[in-house]
Amino acid sequence: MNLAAVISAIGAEQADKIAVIERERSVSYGELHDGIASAAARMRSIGVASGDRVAIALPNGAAFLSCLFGSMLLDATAVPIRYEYCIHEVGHILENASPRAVVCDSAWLKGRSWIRELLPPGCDIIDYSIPFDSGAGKQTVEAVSDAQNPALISYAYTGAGEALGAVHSHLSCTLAGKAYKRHVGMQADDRILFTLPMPNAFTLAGCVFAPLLEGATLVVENDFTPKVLLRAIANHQVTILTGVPAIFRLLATCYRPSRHDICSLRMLITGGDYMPENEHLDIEQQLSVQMVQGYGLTECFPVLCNRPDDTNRPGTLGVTGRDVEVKIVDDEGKAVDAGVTGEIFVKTTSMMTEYYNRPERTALVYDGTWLHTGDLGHMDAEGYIHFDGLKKNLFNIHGNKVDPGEVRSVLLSHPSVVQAKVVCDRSSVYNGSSPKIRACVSVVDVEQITAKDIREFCKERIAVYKVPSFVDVLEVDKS
Amino acid sequence: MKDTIAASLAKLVGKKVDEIDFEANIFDDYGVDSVQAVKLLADVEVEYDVDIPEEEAQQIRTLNDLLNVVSELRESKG
Repeated sequence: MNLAAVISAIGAEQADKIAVIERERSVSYGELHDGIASAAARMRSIGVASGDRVAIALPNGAAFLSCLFGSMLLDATAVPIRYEYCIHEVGHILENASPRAVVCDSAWLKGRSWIRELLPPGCDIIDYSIPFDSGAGKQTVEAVSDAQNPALISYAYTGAGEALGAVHSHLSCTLAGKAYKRHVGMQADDRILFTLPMPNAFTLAGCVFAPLLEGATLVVENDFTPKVLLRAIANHQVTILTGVPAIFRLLATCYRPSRHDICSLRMLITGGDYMPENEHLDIEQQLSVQMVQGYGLTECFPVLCNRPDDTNRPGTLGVTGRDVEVKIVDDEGKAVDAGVTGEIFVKTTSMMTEYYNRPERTALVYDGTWLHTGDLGHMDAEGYIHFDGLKKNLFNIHGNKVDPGEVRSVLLSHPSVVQAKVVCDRSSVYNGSSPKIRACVSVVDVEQITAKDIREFCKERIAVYKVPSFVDVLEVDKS
Repeated sequence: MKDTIAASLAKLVGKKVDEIDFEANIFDDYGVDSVQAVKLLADVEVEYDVDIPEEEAQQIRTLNDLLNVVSELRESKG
């Protein structure tokens, strides 16, 4: 079983149905089918074969989807890279995944003159913005793979020195998509709008696999500005909006019933960051649309979700669907009673097989049956899971997970920085704000380097959402 | 208008209105992130009933930049 072949087959059955709406164009299922075949043919023409990995750095859209499923069609493993990643992240991912090809566009290459030096031996760049002449018309690519073969490696955050790529099989991806669409009641006539990055596992399961397997329509928008989303909802008769809490907060403050038409919306899906009950209810009331909150991880796709009916419990992470089990355990791994906080453990058919080439790190979180999520929670008397914070050392900035160790390693790579400390500053959680990353660095000569210099240094090396908002520069103690 | 815009930013970053420097870079000097920037502009658009074009929004770095864009838009509306 090959996920790309399953999705491509939908193109054969309903070629005219719209699969993807982007700013500039609409793409039908038939065109997506052709795009996937074309991407696969192009990759094959440079030597990508079964068992290879293909890194993909493209913005959200049909081109990304063509390459994602094109690599899967060849029984290669897709390795999506967040489009905003810089040298630090890309370097670690390429070193870990050792892809056969990197598919990107000229805009991405333009800002990354260092890319060719980071390529593993034998790795080629495919510039997808240059049209591909497939030569002898449409080439048929036969999809050959076992359901257990690796379809995808998803990197949640790259870690201080180790890129951690969760490997998912065709079966894992397919089951995640099917379970998600069943759980939230996705229909073929749904139009799902989202701005979340496609490489993210929540986006892949909920906004790519689920709707495409159902034959629904994806509405892709790369700008999360409220007025842009409100226009998209009206123009494309969007039925489902998926996002992180920050997006819904912004939308609720800008929505005006007299100016904006959102009557097509039937459901909001929030995840990636915790939405407390009072905020959840306020947003539902302001937008007059039901919102459901869910929870998942890169390592095992969506785990919990509320359903869009009267079982919805705002402020909770929801309940499990079929084929997923959750338990709350103490430090010894023993299940605790309802109401008691412990670590959330997950068992699911959509489990990663490993962190790619990281057996020791895999063994730390996965015992072969249960995933140790590093998140804290408790189950209530009705069986709903509540979120109680992070056990693992990660910052959550508007849904983006940031490893402070990674930020620290970048700071320490600055030639003038002797010591560095990275903390999460929660003191300024004002209206519309989030926790802020604050760094404190010690340098030899405090006259020579400013906070702005340090921030600029970071911006060249890591994604902008990981760059500390505030930097204190101190002189190292010379005594 | 200056006071209202300064108050919006002050509230966003937890400062007093009279501490706000109109020439300061809101990202570098006040630690404003992309979500906060979107909120600031969206609040100002709603307050003054203007629609800041995307290309101009991306150029805004200081409150003076924002003030100038909004003033021009209001003038052209007449």
